[in-house]
Amino acid sequence: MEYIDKNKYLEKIINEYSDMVYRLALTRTKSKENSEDVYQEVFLRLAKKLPSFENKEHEKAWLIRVTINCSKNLLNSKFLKNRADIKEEIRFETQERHDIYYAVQELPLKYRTIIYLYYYENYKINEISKILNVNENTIKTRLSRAREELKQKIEGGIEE
Amino acid sequence: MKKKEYVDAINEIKADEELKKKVLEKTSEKRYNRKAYTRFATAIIIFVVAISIAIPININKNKVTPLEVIEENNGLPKIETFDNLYNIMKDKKSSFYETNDAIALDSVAESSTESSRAEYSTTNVQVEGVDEADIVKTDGTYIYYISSNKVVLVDAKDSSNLQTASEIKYSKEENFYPIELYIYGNKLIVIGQKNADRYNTLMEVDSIYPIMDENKTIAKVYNIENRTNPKLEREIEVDGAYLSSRMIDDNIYFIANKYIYTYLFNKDIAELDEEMFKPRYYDTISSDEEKSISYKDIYYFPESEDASYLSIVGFNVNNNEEANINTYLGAGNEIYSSKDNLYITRAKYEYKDGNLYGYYNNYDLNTYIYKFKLENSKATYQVAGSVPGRILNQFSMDEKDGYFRIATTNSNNWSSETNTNNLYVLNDKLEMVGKIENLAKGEKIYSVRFMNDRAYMVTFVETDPLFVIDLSNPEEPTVLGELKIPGYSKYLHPYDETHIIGFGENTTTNSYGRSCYKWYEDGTI
Repeated sequence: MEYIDKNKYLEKIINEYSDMVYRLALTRTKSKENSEDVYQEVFLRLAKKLPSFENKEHEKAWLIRVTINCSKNLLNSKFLKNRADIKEEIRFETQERHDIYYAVQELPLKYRTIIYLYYYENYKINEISKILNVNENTIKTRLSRAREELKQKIEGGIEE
Repeated sequence: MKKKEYVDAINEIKADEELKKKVLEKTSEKRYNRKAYTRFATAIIIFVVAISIAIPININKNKVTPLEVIEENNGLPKIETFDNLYNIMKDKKSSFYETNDAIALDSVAESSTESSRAEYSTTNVQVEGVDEADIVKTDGTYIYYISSNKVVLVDAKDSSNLQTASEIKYSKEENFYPIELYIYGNKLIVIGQKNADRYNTLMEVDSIYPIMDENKTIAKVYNIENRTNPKLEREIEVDGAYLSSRMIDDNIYFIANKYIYTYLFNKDIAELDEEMFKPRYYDTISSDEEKSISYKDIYYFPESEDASYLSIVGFNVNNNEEANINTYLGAGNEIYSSKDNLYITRAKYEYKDGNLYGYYNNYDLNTYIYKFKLENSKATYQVAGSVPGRILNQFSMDEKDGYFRIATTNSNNWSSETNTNNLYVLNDKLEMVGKIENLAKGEKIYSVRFMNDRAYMVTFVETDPLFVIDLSNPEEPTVLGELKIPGYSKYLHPYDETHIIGFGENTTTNSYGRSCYKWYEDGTI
């Protein structure tokens, strides 16, 4: 039989979350190539598993979680570990305008993920805690440390 | 406004369109794989048919022994009224996305040839005497096949000169897509689907969810006494997407899942038209008019969380009795049928804490099994049971001497590291009587086959262990042998009592190959 609905569903979800998955992957892996690898892996996993999502939130959270896991796997893979630091190549021409973005990207991995989820995806602390499976207080501490570091790098930090 | 800058910066980052296209193509690849398998199978079937044409034809019918009559009262609650449905659905979370999961993603098309005792070859079936629909069938003289939107009857009397006897075409307007077919004597039964968009037109819904197409499953019965001029005799239509079907003697059972558009249940009950949510059907044997199934006749499985109707339609191709339609609130992923019983399974993620998002060690994965007794084109609900984990496909299940055997892969989070593979034996009341758990940790079942007292199971991550499990004592299944080879088998086919053929891939060379496993009594493979 034809799985008309399955393919339609996948098409829809890929269109919908394409940018999100890519952005988050880039936030974590800092490289275009790696992000593209993660991107493919995430949607192929989705197609393979077709999990039963309870609602829209669950769907999105699942994709975030899987994106994080996939980039973690990639970064942990021997191949990358044995290589020198990878230079990021982000397609921004207007460097100045986006110095905040670069400042965030220079933060440690765990901080920049939280910054992304908190400031860009507008998740609340308790939601981030569930998505990352990390204690709420830890998230709070990391977020405030991340803000502090940003303040030192950029006048005013991210709050203003 | 640094936050805004950060947001703006990220907004400028976009996934590459080419990348998106590539992934879209990749995710729909599986469909094409399946077609390749069926083409391969079709070629073999035609070849075998051509060889066997010369041999006199003798249709070998398997007679089913008469079944005992069972109680009408099946212990399931009924919906009774629209108010009840409304209240049930309001609480339900729609899990539409999974109902089409019948895909069993890694399963191979079931078509392939099987040398049976009949004088002509038939399409592959799991259980002898229980026919499964396919895209190509033959009765020894003619070959019948589905080609996109038409059914073709080929005269194969002269194997060196195949001729098209006739074609049944379905026009665009008719909107009917043939999916599978059966042949029974002078009857050709085509099962297909129609897609309509009742919801789109009738309801103005503003929702982020995709608007569902409404599917209808249709069985068309043709009289093919005259092969050059098939006559449509009967048409049975029921709401829902086609799941699967079986034919036992001249009784056909087909199953459809109809998604209920739960989004509408956010509205006040007064705004809703209760007629709209009734599943509909018609059987031209009694009337061309569409009828709806009353809420009084719809049962529900209390433990099911699906927002969908599951309809089992049973009819006899040779008599004029109206089709039996039983509708349940619930859904199915996979079906298995013996000559006497039909089992419909449904995998379910059961969340331990409803407030969490529902991943990360926060759920139990269970497969629910619903058992129906099949007799004289009527499917009667018997009992339900459940086992941990989820199954791969219909071959993960089997029934022998009243025992139901099922092989599952279980995991309690999204990573595959915690996967375990299990085999359970259930009695006729679907109570667990025997089990083997925790085989091949971290791997996943790729194929299973039950043969009498043996089960063959292939799991896979990097190497492919083939397990042979002895089931002669249902209460104490034991692993008899184990073999690790590179690559994996996607389909196992029994050759004889001691041999099994695996179809699969060698992951090191990435080629598609066939491997033959030999199973010897002394425990080595």
